[in-house]
Amino acid sequence: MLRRTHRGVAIIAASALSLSLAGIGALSSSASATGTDGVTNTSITIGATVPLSGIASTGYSDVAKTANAVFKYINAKGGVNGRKVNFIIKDDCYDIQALGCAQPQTSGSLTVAQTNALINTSGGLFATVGSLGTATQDAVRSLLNSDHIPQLFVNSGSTDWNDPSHYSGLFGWQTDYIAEGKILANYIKSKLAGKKLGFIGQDDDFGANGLLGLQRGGLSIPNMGGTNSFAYPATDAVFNLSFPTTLATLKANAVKIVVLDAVPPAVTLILKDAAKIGYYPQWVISGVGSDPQTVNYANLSKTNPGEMNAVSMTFFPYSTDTTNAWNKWIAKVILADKADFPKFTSKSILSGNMQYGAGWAVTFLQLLKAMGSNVTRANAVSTLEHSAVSNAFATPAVLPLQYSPTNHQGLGGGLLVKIVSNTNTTQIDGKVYSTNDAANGAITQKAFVNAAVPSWLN
Amino acid sequence: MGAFFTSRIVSDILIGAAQGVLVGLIALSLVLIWQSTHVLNFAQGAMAMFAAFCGMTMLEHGLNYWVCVLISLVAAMLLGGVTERVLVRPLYGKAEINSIVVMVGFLGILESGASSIWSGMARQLTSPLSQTYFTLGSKTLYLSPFSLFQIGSALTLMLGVAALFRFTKIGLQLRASALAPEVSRLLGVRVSRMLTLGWIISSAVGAFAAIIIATSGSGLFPSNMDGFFVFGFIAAAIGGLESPGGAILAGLLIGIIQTFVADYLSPSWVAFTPVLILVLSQLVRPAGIFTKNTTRRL
Amino acid sequence: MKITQILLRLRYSSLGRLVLALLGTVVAICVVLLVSAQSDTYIANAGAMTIAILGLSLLTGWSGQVSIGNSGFMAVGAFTTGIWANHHQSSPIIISLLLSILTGAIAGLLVGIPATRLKGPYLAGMTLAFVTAMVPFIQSLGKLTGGSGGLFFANLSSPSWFANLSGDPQNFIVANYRWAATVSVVITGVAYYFMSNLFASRAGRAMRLVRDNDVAAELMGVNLGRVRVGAFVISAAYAGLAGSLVALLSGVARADNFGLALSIEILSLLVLGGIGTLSGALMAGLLAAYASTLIAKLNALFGLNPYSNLGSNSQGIIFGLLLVVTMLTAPQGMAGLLKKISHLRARKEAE
Repeated sequence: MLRRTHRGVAIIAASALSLSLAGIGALSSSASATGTDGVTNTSITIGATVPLSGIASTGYSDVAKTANAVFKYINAKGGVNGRKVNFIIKDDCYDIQALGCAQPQTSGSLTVAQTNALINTSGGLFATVGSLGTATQDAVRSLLNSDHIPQLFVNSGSTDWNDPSHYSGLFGWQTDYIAEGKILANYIKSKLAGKKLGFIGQDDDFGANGLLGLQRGGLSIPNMGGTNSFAYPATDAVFNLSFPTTLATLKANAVKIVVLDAVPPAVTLILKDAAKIGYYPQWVISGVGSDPQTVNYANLSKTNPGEMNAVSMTFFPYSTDTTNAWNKWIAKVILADKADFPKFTSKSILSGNMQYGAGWAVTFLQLLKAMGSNVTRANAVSTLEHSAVSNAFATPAVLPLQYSPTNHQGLGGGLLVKIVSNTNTTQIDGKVYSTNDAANGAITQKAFVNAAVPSWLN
Repeated sequence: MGAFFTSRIVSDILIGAAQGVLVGLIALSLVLIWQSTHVLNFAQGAMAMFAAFCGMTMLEHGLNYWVCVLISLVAAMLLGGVTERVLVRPLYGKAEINSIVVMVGFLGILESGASSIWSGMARQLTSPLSQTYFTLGSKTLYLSPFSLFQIGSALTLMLGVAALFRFTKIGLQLRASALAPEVSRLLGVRVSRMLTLGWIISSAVGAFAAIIIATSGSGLFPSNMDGFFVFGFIAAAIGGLESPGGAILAGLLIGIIQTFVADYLSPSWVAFTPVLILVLSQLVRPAGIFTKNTTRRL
Repeated sequence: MKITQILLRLRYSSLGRLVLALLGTVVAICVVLLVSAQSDTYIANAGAMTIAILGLSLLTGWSGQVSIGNSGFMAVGAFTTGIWANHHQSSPIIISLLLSILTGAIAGLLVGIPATRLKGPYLAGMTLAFVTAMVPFIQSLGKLTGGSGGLFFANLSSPSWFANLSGDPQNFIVANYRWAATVSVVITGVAYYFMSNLFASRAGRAMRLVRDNDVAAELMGVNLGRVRVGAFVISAAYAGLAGSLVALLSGVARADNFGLALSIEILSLLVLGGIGTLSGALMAGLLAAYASTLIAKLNALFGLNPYSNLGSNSQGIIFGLLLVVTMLTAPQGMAGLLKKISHLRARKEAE
């Protein structure tokens, strides 16, 4: 009899455990009523899913942390229109589950699981703001759309965020890969004309759209797999055996300009492998992979004395410009957040990721300010779509946002920079280029101005 | 003659061999542990990474590269010895899965721990030797001072371990402790010390591989051994878990075949090449290519 | 105590097990309707994990074969569901589930025939190799599997009668979560019932015999190969079902979600719950689903900054410690611990 009862006790205990565990959740979030939308007279609750741990967290985790620092800074000054921003960050490991990811990996898509947790935040969630990644955010856009929760300022250069007829509350923020490709193509055509071209891109929409942009910009580069045009697997950026042979082929074919649509670890590997064979072409690197603080140019050039010689595009003032007003402001905000940035000192150089986080955080604050007392989801969307208002937002970006009822993409261009080392970045011609995705969309240029930071942010 | 050494085939072999010896070293360290204590050490890569961090972060404080390597190796030996005494010892004689789970748990602690202490940022280690390949005329010969050091030291380590096992008294005791612990004990061998020693040697071999990988590849970061561990494990299984030489050879084979696949077929097929080699080898010789046949015990 | 004893007696007959499974499912559905929507997402996920752990429990706990490849079979199930859902949008989910069980079983057969010839570390190595190859393989299939981005399809959404029933007829947000959890609970109940029958059957006993003494089993006329492959196939079919359920719950199938890390976590959870037990699988499934909230609360308790290096990685450290400490102090897992406690109590009562 004894042997029989203990198993029974185990089963009963198991069900009791399940009930009590369920109870924990019930107590904490029974208030997740559907009518509220995360807004009170004194606060507004928003959230984001970003990689805080795991392979993609390097660098990327600074984006949301900087945004958080911006919100803390403004909250300490009383918030916007009396409302403080309650920003919830959830770790989704970039939805690539690996041994280094600190989250339990048992829920299938971690981005979906964490977005569910955001939606069910007690008191409600106004919107997701600044969630990071292309595939990750593709996975939740239907969910958020059907729950009528805006999905603002997705951190990705995909064109998937610009589809107002299907996803009315979905907004991108940065310049997309096609527009970036067009601007880089324009530079190559005007300044590096007549030299032989090569391309290495990630085998997903990042590489494909970047290449499409170069082609729409008038360069004749074949699709990946064609002559001097190579793809590398997105999953293999860290551990890739094909770069040595790829680069040897480019060198043998006397290719003088190589465009890289690659993520930082792949860029590091490519530059290293190229130096190993003594191959120093003119690199043209997408802004995604060229952040000097993430790709360690200094050490690369120490072992290989050749100058890095890379051209890239950024939508921010170049990060080593310590005289820029926005750069100074971002550094001040980060310095004030000792808890999250213990190692950042007054001498530290901003990373592109920090500028990026501050960029969309300020955009959100501008949106909140523009909405005034009418803080609703519908008003947030219509305020952003109201070009006269949203396109005048002052942000750290070097060019205005382009939102309209038919354009939810965000920025449409940037500044060309030359990267020598991680402490030496300069702008090339002091001009801000802007364009759209279309093959016939013209590229316009304006002089870059060191814009002042609005006094209410200071 | 120069044309031969710079041909596409020889180039692929040289690139693959540099990569392959690293896979082989990880396999070797797994084999050393398997041989001495019959534990499948899932934390092997993570232990190597952790030890590498302990020493190589000293580069930032201006220490010489080789001094940092030395610190890492000492840290690795300590880590290996303590792990065997504290975590592994209570598991001897228990089911295989118990040790697997403990080492999986340890892996989580080490990787998350390293991220906590040193952050997930990839550190570039400045190479003490040039990584620029030699040239023959206008062509590249895919060997550099660093890759020569890489291949040379790996082979030296392998031969050293083999010599230790075959020609020294300690080696004899190590083998005896693993094969017949009871008999060895009766004969006066301090078996428990020998088991710890097995872990210490294995851990140092792994850490050495981790340092080389971090110096030549995309840097040192908490998960930088994950991929190598998987390939190392596969190489160990191909070579037979009982055979140190088999482990190195299987590692070399994996590296070279992967490079050929990346060059001639497609880089996206690289990841599943080792599996195909494993399946083929296991169908031919289920207990590894380089293992002698053993009889089944009742 | 009397009622529990009656309930427990039920386990010894097939009809009794059916009654138990039905009762358990009904109770679980009541829980689903009472708790918060966020708890429902956890319960739904716990169901899927329980199924995956049950499958591995049969393979590792009963037939003695350690597999690190079961997440690969989950991937097969998830992508079967995703591909089917994208081509037959209005087909009932039961077809997706059954197809995924089938493809999981076929994959299990293909891998199992060569793998089950191997033993111990070589089997582990083979299954590890399988799962690490599976992710890039699926990603290399292009349009069919959506490459590295994966497939997106309609996830489980509540029918209107259920939304009315659960008091959320307007916007379905809560009803969708409740519905997903209900579906998951029902499927888990069915999977649980089948596994409890299998454990009690001749085939189950044959597996244990093969695990404990393969030579004796062979002498008694058990076909070793068939039993080993059989356990592999059933385990893979359960993994396929679990993968399908995970995909339906999220509306996403991404190969990166089914890598080596998931296999390792399932194996760890199996051991934490109690290897080879039904109740252990259930407890481990719940633990998996609730782990992140529990650890987040623990972090808050210690006042740890969640965005610091330590704060964002503390979960990994705590889970690792849990595994190490459990294995060193209570290798029979939670189920074993409860068993011990009930033993002690029974002894006290006898005194």
